[in-house]
Amino acid sequence: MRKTEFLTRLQASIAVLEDNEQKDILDEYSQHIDMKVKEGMSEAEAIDDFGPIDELIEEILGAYHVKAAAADVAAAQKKEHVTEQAASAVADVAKTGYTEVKGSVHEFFTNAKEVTAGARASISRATDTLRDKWEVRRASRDTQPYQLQQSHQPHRPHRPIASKGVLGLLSGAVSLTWRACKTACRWIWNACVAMTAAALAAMALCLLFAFGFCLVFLLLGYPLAGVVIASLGGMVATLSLTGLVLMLIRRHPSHTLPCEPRACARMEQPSDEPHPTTDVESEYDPNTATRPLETRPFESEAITHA
Amino acid sequence: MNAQFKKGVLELLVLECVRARDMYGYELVEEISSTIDVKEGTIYPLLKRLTNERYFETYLRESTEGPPRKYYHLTAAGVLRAGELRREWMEFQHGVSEFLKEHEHAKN
Repeated sequence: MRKTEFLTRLQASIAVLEDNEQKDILDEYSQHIDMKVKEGMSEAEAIDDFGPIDELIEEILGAYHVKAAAADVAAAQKKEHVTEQAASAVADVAKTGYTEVKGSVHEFFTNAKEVTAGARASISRATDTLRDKWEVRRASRDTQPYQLQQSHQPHRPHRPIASKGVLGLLSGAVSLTWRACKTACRWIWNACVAMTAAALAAMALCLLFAFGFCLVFLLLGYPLAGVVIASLGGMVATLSLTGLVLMLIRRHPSHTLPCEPRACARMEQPSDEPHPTTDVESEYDPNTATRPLETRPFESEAITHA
Repeated sequence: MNAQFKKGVLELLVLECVRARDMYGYELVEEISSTIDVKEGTIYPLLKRLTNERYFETYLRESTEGPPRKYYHLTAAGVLRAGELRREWMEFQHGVSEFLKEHEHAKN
């Protein structure tokens, strides 16, 4: 008989004893066999020295005042009870798991519907806001007085030049520097906003990947409902943030070309009043302005804006 | 040798061995086996019984030759039990020897 076979049979016979007692007994016999083998004996010879295994089992159980026959029955009952317990525990876990997964999936789809509806509402609100802003800008562009410059950048709005001469030149230089600084700041701001939006978009993409990944495992039965909902929520949040951040981009103030019919139509034919060197915005009426820019008598002069 | 004889003195021999010094299972089995011819496997149940009856205490000691070994130490109750068994054995052995001597003489 081999050592493993001997120990297995011994364990089955003393199964009625407590686990720590069983382990103690098996360790002692195992150690004894190992020492015998180290001295040159075979496992079978070492086990034979123990004597008949049935007598051995009887003596071991006798040390605990347990009858061998009763021990067999008790061991069988214990094994059956353990098997029943294990089977019922597995059934309970499976049932609970199925119920939980079913509930999680139902809750997930309910939440997903609500989140989608909320996201749709947010997106439509953002779109409306953007559209309104665009309309406002268009309207404000339409009501802005037409501006002409003799400079090489006719689309840039002019500041009033107080007078010719050194003071005027100085003022012009300061004005140009100020405009350049404003442009640079606008570019830097837009670059930062764009980078932030890109980072948020990347994060949304990662969360989308995580959402899909976890959804697959959730449908396979893994308890990942919370992770799935969190990743979906995070993705929607980062996408919304991206949209909001993009709205912070400052656009270049738009100017119309001199030959645009709309721009030409803005200027109202001056009346008998002296040539207006200041703001003509109050006199401008887009509905009635008809004279094209080229026909204005004061076309060659720069019109200053007060 | 008669198994009943061996069975009767086994407890005394085990108690006396451990009384002299703490020993582990295999060492004890080898010691006893060198004195009387007993099945080695029967000594472990005896050790377990005597431990359950509080005549022995056990402790583990690290070994350089393998896993930790469980050593048996005689308790105070074990010392008393060993002394009691020794007295009984001496009386028993004396009584049996005297009985055999008388009958030998009577036969002659």
